[in-house]
Amino acid sequence: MSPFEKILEILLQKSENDLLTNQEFNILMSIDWRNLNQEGVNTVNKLLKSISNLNNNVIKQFYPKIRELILSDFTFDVDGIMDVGDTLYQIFSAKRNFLENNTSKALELLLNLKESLYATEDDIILAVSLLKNKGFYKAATELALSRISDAPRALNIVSAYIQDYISEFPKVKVGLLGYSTLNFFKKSLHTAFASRGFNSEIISGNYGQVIQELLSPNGIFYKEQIDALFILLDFYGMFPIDWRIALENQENLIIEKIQNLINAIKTYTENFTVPVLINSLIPPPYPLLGFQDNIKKFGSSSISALTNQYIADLARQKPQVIFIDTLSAFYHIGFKEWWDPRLWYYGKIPFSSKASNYLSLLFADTFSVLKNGIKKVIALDLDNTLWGGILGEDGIDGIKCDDEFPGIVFKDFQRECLRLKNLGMILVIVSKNDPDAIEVFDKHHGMILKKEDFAAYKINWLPKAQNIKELAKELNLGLNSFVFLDDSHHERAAMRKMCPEVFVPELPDDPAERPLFLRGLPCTWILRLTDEDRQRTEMYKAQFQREIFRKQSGTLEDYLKGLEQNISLNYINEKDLPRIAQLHQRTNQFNLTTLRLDVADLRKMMEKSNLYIVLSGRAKDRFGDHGLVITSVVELKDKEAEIKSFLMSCRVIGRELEKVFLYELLQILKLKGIQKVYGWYIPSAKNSQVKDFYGKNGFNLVKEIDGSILWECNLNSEIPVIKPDFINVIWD
Amino acid sequence: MNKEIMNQISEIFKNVFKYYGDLTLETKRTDIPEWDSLQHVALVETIENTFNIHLSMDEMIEMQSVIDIINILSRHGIS
Repeated sequence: MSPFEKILEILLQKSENDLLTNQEFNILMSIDWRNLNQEGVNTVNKLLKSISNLNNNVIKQFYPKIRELILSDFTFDVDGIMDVGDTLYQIFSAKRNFLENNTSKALELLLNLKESLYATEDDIILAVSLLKNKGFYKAATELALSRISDAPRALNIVSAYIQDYISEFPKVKVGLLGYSTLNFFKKSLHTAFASRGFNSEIISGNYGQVIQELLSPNGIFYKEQIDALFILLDFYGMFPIDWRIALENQENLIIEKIQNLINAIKTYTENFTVPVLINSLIPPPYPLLGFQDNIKKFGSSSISALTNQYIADLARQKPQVIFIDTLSAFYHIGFKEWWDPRLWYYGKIPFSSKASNYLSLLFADTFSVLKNGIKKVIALDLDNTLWGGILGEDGIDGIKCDDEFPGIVFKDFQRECLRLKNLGMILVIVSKNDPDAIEVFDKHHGMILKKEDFAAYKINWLPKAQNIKELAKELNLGLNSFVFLDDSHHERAAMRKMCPEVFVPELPDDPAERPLFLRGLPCTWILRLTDEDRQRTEMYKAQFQREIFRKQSGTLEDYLKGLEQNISLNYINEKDLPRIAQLHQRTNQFNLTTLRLDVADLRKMMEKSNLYIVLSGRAKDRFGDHGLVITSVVELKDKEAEIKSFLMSCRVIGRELEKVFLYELLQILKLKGIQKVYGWYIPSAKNSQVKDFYGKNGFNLVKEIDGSILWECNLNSEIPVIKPDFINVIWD
Repeated sequence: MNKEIMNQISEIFKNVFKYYGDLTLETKRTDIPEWDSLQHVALVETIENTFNIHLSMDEMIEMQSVIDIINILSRHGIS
């Protein structure tokens, strides 16, 4: 018997409280379990059969060896492993499926680990290695990228495949500036972007040249066309304090430094409209000025607070500047771990590797929200999600939502949902219950949420995927604007399968962790708060009512007349500016030119009212207020005008509002003495429905170039648009 | 000397430097094109994570060849 087999025999005879001796343990560890002979395999199989009888601590001791088995070529009897660890069992099962040629089942088991809350870094490394060994490079990369924050080592295994994996993703070009060494962060950032679905090219500024790159017309970012500019702030890089300088002069130097940065960013934003993302400064671990650190302005705490205050003010004035909170990135790693002095002294690298990973993910998530918007709808389950217990079994008096434990946890979860509603998200219910379950919200005294907080609800016994699809239709929103929160693993898995566009986060099993978990989802972090956002639920409720009315109306004409529509027109003003910009950024379908104007662009046009007319319309009907939903920018040149943008929210498509608006717009231009109006149709992936919009409204075709069409309208005679008479026009 | 450790170092060199060539005790930094200052930091971190040790700044700078790695690991009780 080999020493290995001897040890295994001894192991099998160990009683409940015995541990391996050091010698026994070392012998076991020194053998490569991937290269056993047949006798070795038999012995291991014997061991695995009775593994659940072993002392838990012993099992933990040779956990790494069990992992090696997975990468070996042998099959092992693994049913005993189930008691050792759920994740390990999943990986073992995947391996068995591979060996039996059930590839799709094996892939499913392994890719499920993307969302697993219990998989350790070692488990992920194992799963990624297994996928790579079997030749599934794409799946291996996908799994590794999904876990870069808590299993960064897994990426090393697939680093060669990342470039290929991201080659089909949307390309983004990002500028990176900072006061310290950027190469390290650049690498984390590229990976973070890959993890969030972007193929990024990151151009970093020259070392220590933040101000110069922001100001100089010869700077890199003045020449390159970038999608966003990232500014990475770190304390030691930005404030290398010279202690030779008298203490009483330090304060001025610090303020000067901060102001230089702020002014440089301001200048940059006057020349470019791309988003500028900048992280908050955090002070180093210990105070510079002892107990005065927070009091005197040149203590490290004060310096950080002051810098952040200036940046916040800047972000308030300039919506294109996005101020992100470094601390929220470091929540996971503990305050001590963001600083690695070896890295700083070795090469002025400002953040530890872990910190770089988390911070770069925060930058990438922010960019993703900028590009894709945040989620608009929170779809909620009821039992054990919004309250503790099951209504059908415990009755309204038995379910838990109050100020005691465990009800207090569910009450707090409801509070988070209410918070999101106030920030502009819509709450809906998707639950398997009797429809009268909705009454619980008004009858049960512990509930935070009320029936009226929900814009819509599907409470029935149909499959949840079906319900969510119907809701999407009724609310006129894409499935990709939904977040689905449900305590049931099974319901979540089913939703992911049936509606892959819906975001289904892995809600923690422990309800106590859920309120914070919900708050930590970047897809719910609003970028701006407009009045529109605050009233959104009311608007969607009204939409829900309209849908029901429409299903009851006879002809389209009856329906349109029955709506009793009003449109209030107004020229652009400070209050409407953010919403008009939002419309330009978000509208894709009813958009003639897809010109993406933002707040800065529109403000410039607002100031030049002799050159530009920017008109907008607010729509109301019998059921409610749609808000500002239609807008157009017209450029004036002597006796001619060109419609630079004409767009309408998809909420109000199909009601002829665009006709009224166009008519009124042309009326204004005619009164101003304009004789000819031009308008382009520029094709995009989503706007084919408006290709003939101008033509249908009496414009003449001038020319067609590569799919773009130029239309013209002669204002010397009657305005050719036929204005519908069932819409009332009001001027503000 | 331990074959297992050489295997692990070989894996690390594959992942960090994309180096698939032969590794001997004498293989040093100048033999490997991808071993620049940035990747050196990645090497140090990977060694730390793989063997569960923490390296001092001196050791970071000392680590310029395979034999250096072996010596450092040995000092940390890994052989």
